[in-house]
Amino acid sequence: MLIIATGHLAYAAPIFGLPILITMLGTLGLLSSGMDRARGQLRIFNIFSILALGCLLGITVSSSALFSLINPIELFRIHTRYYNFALPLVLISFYALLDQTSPERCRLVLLFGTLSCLVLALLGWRFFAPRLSVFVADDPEMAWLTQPYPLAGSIFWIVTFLVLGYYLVIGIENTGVYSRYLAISLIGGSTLIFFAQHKVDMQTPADRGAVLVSNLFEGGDDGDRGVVIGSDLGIIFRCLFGIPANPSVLLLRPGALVDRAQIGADKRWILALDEYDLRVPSTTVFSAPGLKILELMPPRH
Amino acid sequence: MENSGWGGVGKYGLESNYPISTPDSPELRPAPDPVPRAVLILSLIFGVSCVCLIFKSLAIRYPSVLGDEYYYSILSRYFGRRPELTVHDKYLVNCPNELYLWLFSAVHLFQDNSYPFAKIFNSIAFAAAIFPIYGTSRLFLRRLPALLISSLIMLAPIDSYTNYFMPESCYFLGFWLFVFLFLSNLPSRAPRAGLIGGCILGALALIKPHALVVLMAANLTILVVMLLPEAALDHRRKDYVISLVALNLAFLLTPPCSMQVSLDIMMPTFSALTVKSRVHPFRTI
Repeated sequence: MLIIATGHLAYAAPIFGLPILITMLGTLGLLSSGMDRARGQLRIFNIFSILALGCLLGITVSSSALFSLINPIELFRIHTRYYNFALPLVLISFYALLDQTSPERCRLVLLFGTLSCLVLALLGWRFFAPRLSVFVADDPEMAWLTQPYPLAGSIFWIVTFLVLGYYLVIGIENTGVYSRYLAISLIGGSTLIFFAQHKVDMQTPADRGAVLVSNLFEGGDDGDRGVVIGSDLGIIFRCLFGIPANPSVLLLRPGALVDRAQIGADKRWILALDEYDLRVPSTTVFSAPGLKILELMPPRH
Repeated sequence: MENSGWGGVGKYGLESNYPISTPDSPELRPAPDPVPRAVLILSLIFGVSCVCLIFKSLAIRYPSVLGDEYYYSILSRYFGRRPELTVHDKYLVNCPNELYLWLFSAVHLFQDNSYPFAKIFNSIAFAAAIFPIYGTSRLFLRRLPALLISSLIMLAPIDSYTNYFMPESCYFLGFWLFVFLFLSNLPSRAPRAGLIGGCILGALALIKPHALVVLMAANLTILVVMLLPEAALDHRRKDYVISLVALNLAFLLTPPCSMQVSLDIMMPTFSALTVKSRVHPFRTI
């Protein structure tokens, strides 16, 4: 669990490390001197931001640990999507706090905090990024660092170290450099994510099968009276996604024997997403590598 | 000292024109906000974001987050008829996102175009979050920085969730609506903050169960503020206790109520519409 939590922090540190640090100081009351109502509201906002992110991160880390008991690959997934909707909270806190107060009073704490961000970012760069391919849907903020643009990732890490190093030396008083870094990282990341998604967005045999079945068996409840057979649940789901009906599903290893008893008497069609030994009276409507559509004969009584 | 972030944001002193701070004496109050202009700019950004996000999400034609996208798609299509589904597909998981599934069951009125319309709905919901984000930012920042932060969040990689048949975009809007309405009422109107916050979180829990964690954070926030030495800035602790009770009661009561009301009122309408368009009819209750 400690490694998972460190992974999350290492991936949050480059872009959101400084805002989290400042918000934490604001939560502790170290960055606010006044006691008026507006400052009180900001203090409450800081408290909520840190507690919300803390609770969400805690739940995310424990869920990952729990899921890894079923599927060990979950240990290597950074599920930022369970809390990334709350990350803008710290951005607002960051600018609000630095706008109202001078961080002079806690220079040492800030120095230590910035150094921690730098260490975490280094961990992210050296330890996590080479080992973890972050999925676009899991962590869109950082996914573009690992795939499919390693060059962009390398540039990002260098710029991150320069920015954090700059604040380590100068101190967090001028937010201009960070603002530019933030804007470039987020907009650049968003653009790269889009191109990454677009690159892999192509029709697969599962999509073709879905379109064919939808066109061939669209009348009445024919769409429901079919069976989709495959060996990979992900591919089966992708196929089912394109069928506007509710066919049955059979998950079988490639080459398995399929007979009428498995299919069911009321079925009219079969869509096979792998090669199977299909022993059912039927007519082949479409056949291609990794995709076969059969129209079934009614069973003899 | 001048702060150069966001195009030279000035430093707010107590005596300066703090954005929406509420100094008690009227002469210290800042000049009234030119609201129509701010609303106009915000609406413009909302419109542009909507169009950009719609184009961006429609450019991606195939689902990629499987099985989540499949689960949400099929469960929303057969909303209210889940047992029928599980008979055919034993691999379906039980998603407790009832409000999201009900809301997005409407996209299946568009039959073959349900996926593009889900993306369009996602894009509108995501872009609409700019209003509560800006509102929250304006509690503490001047207009320009608030506008820049809100716009930047609209452009951030998190907008990629509009591409998927998933509740993330809807939840994003709901979460920020909660943040704005809950935190803008604290500390001066703590009971109201609790009540409104509880209602929104109750509904939000039916979009994504993560709202339970946000509820935990909201509870902890009230508790911590209540225990702060400054005793929550002239407000009685009793207000916070009421707020705490209201937050949790409203949270507990809202989901069943909102679902029941929405089902009672809206389902017959949807049902009539879907029968007319020859899509699988929804079950009327």
